[in-house]
Amino acid sequence: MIKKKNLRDNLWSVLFFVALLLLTILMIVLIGTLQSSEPEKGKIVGGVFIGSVSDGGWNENHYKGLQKACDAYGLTLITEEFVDEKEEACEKAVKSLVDRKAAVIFFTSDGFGDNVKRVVESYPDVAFYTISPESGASNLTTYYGRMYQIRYLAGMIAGQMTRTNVLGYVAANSNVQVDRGVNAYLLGARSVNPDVVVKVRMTGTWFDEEKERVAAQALIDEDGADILTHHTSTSNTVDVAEANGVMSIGYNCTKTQYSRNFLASLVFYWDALYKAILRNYIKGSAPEGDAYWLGATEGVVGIENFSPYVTEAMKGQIKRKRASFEKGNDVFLGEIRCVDGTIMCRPDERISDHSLLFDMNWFVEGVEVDGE
Amino acid sequence: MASKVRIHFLKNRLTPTIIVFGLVMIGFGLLLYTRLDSVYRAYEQQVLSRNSDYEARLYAEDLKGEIQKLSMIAWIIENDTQFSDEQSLKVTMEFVNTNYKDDPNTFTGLLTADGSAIYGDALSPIDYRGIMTSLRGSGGISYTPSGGVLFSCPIFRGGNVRYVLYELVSASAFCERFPVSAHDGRGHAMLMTRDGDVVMPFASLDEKERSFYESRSVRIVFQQLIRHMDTKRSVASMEKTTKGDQLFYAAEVPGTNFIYAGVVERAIISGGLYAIPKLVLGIFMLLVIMVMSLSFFLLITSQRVREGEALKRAKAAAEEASRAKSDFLANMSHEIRTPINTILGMDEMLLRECTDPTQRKYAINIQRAGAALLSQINDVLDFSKIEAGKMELFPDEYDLTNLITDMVVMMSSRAVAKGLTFDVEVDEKMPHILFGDSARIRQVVINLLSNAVKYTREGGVTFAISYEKANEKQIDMKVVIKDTGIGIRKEDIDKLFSAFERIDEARNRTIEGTGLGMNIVWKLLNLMGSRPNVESVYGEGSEFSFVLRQEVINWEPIGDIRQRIEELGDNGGVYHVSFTAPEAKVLLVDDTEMNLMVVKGLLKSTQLQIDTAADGKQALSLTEKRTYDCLLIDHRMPVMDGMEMIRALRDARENANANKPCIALTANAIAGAREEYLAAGFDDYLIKPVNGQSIESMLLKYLPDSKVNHVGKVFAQAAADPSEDGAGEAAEPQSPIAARLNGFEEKGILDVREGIEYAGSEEMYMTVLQFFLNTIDAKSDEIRGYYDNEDWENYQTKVHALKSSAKVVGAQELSDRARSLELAAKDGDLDYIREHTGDVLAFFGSYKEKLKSIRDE
Repeated sequence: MIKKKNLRDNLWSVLFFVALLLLTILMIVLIGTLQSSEPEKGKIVGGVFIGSVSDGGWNENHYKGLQKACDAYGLTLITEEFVDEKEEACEKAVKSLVDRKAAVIFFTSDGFGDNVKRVVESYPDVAFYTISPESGASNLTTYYGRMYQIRYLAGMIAGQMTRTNVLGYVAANSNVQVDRGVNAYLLGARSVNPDVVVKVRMTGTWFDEEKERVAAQALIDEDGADILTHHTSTSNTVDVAEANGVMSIGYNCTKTQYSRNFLASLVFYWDALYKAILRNYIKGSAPEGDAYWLGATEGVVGIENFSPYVTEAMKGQIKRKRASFEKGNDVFLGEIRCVDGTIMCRPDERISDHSLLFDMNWFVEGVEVDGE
Repeated sequence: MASKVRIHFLKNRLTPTIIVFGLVMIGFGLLLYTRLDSVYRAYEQQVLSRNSDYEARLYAEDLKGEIQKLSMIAWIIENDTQFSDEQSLKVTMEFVNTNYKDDPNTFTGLLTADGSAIYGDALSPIDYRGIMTSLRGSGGISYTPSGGVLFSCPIFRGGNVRYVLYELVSASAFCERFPVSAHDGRGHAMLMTRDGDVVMPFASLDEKERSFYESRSVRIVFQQLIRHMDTKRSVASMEKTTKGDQLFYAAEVPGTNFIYAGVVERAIISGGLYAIPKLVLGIFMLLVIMVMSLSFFLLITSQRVREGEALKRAKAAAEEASRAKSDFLANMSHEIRTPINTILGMDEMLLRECTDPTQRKYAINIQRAGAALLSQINDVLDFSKIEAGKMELFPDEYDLTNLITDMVVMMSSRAVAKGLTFDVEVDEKMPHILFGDSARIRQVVINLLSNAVKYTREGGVTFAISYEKANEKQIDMKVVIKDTGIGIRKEDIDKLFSAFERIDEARNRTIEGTGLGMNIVWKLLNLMGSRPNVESVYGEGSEFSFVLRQEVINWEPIGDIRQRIEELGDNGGVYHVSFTAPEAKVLLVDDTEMNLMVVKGLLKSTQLQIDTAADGKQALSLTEKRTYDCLLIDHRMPVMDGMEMIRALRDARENANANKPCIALTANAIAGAREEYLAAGFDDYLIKPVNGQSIESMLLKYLPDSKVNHVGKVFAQAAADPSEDGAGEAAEPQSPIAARLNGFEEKGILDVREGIEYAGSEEMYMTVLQFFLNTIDAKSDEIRGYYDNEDWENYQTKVHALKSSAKVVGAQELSDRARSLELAAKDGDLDYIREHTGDVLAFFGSYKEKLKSIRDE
């Protein structure tokens, strides 16, 4: 009888404490739901790449920069690789990223251009960024680095180093980004050597080893270029130059086992740009102008891996020039003529950012493009 | 009680449980409050943050307006060919500058594409980022602490930038032209750069406010806010300051390096709603307190209920025990009274007939001891009745003279025997017929008087009765009993009336008593609306008194009562015949032959015609044949008991005895018996043991006067002169009865000695024996009849009766053999019965021959 009574008492105690525990959990859950509800921005960032993110060149550079920027702001990066620049492929890639809750999508190749316009407009809630100057949709913003500043500096080196006064330039396609770079290279070279010409050979594609090799070899053999540079995703041009004992300047080329003939490497520091973009994305702020176009001042572009051939005097020259950019002495300032002799910029003028970004589909006098 | 509850309640396991519960709930309350408060703060900060962002955007629009103004001028210059040469541009700028010169601190200027000045100062793009922005083709706003705020815009030629037009506004002029407005016009706002330089300080502050707003700690708060602005356009935070809770906020001004910042009092933002979390906490705590109070209340209540139930159970158990005790006392007294009945009855007959002084003395001693025993049992019985609340008063008319003489006669002899004086002082003017319960008054006075006698060793007892007229119909009768006894200590007086309490035990050990007497006195007087009054001096004596209000029936004074007392006193308690009624017929019903004998013996001198019956059925059949003047009926009988019989008799309308007085005879002296008997139809009842006096006075009450001859004051002289009678009887060597009986003894037929012992006297024995002899045939036939019908139940009853009656007459062998049959019948041993019934009946029958010699008596 006493045992029974104890059992019953204990049962009540146990029931009481179970009830208390349930109450505690309930209360904590209830109190936990009391959260201040600030609308959260999407945390997932999508990247669309035309090649592999480990190609040792353009794509890898972008990927690493974007990854770094995402890490800095606690965002998650998801990717779509090997997306050709056609509309169909873009649509598929974007859909896949949006399905995976991407709130921000970057198109990391110039060639996407207008091909993405339709798919971008069909996702008005997603923020799109592209490095193409064609940004026709309201939710699509162009971003790029002022690489032309660095091309100008590279031109200053090449202009002094060339013996043949012929500089070789392997490029993928002729477009504003490429043309601006070629023009800046020429202007830089001519600022130190007025006799220099830049010979350009187009491959028609961002990455095709064979075509690049053929073009580079042709520049050496047929055009007499003694310094090569390129504007393609991969740096096969540099390999050809090395093989021929010809000097070269790399572009987004991260390899270091090159000979002295490898004068310098032109580099994008994408993370700085991506950070600036993502910071504003999180804040909900707009870029200062039409696009995110940051340059040497902001640390988005640079030149590194100087060869011993590059003298200290040259380096000092470059440094001074670079500082003068910040004082307003930019690349496209003063008289500039187009290949057909048309004055594109009078001596007392400078080409506006807008024109540089969207309209420079012409070459400066002194540029010779193969096949034109 | 209260403290007991509290202790219980602390021991209770529920209490810590409730306390734990309470603490947990308080924890929840605090958690809820903290969370609610932080959520509400966050909400306030969020609201303020958004608001400041909005304000900052509005402010940016103001600033853009200024750039647009410049753009207008730029547009004019761009599109008008007359401004193509520098000279005309300078003139124009002069004009523009003059217009802006309203404010001496505003300067305009015009730069070429390479940054050299055409008009105004050549400002460096490093100092003013706006210059660079405009050189690249956009409007810009920039600030330098040393110069001021610069608005700039490009002048295009085609797609290229030709000039940059700017307007430099000094900090003070900027503050005047572009003041920031504080939040909703309340609080204070300022403009600063991202680097922490103050562009526009808090405006319109008094001295006290200035010291606060320009303090280091306020600056630090803003610096912290700006640090948070890496990923946020606007932020706000609540800070405790010397001015109470203040909300600090900061927001980017888009298109510039400016931060719009300010401070506002919390109360302005929340409008008093910030008290909500505290209110919620308050209400929550109140609820917790209420729930806990309720729990405690319920706990205490349930505890009380539990204790209440325990008390109730305990009370019920105690009542049950008390009732059992009362029942036990009542039953015990009943069991004891039955033998005393016999003792006293026999003793009385002994006293009536015995004249030998020594034997008389013994008999008197027996009577006294028996009476004392009876009175003590009566005490116990009364006490149990009072305890059970069943004691009732039966007021009736009574003659005060009789009452007083009775009491005095009874007590004076005792006092005298103890060598004490006994003085009676009765007011001669006392009215002599009163209305009240004389029996209870008598009991009270006797109790007090006997106590007085008991506790007095020398001196005497005074019994005084006086009165005061209360009104036309009532008097206050005052009774005083005074003694010169041992007295009572003052501290003992209170104990005097409590039950079982015997005061001064050490001294009074030798004095007999139950310790109930005074308690009964107290209670009886209470019942009669009075209370005893005691005055006592220890060692000198006591005085007990009480006053009773009595109705007066007859105011005739009683006169001098002493003579009457003396008359009675001569009698000395010896029996006298109070009446004779040879004509009257009485039916006596009792299953025990003994009792029939005793009662018949007691009434022998009244010469009544007495019929007897052994049970109700027999009695009823007798009533159909004869008409009786009075019926004395025992309660407990086989076949038909007294209660059944009286009902049957009262219902039998044609029976001549249906309305005759019936008196119950019972040993059933428990409380409530009287009502039971009266309800059943009896006229009165007599409690056994009956004595001659009680039964005679009862009969006197109910027998028709015409048949009664009052003997009056004719006292039996035998007692007055015992030597004469005693000598006379002693001279007679042997009565003829004894001689005949001795014959039976010698022949071994009967154990005469035992028979006489049972019967009380030879004469009675003779009567009993004759009865035995005369019923032999009838009884034998009965037993044989039941035997033949195999009615073993009645057979058992009859052989039992045979066993008893044989024993009474001293036929021991017959009794034993009958007993064997009875046992066999009880055990269902039919073989034994069949084998022996014939022999036993033959042996029984043989007594007819053996006792033939007394048949004709």
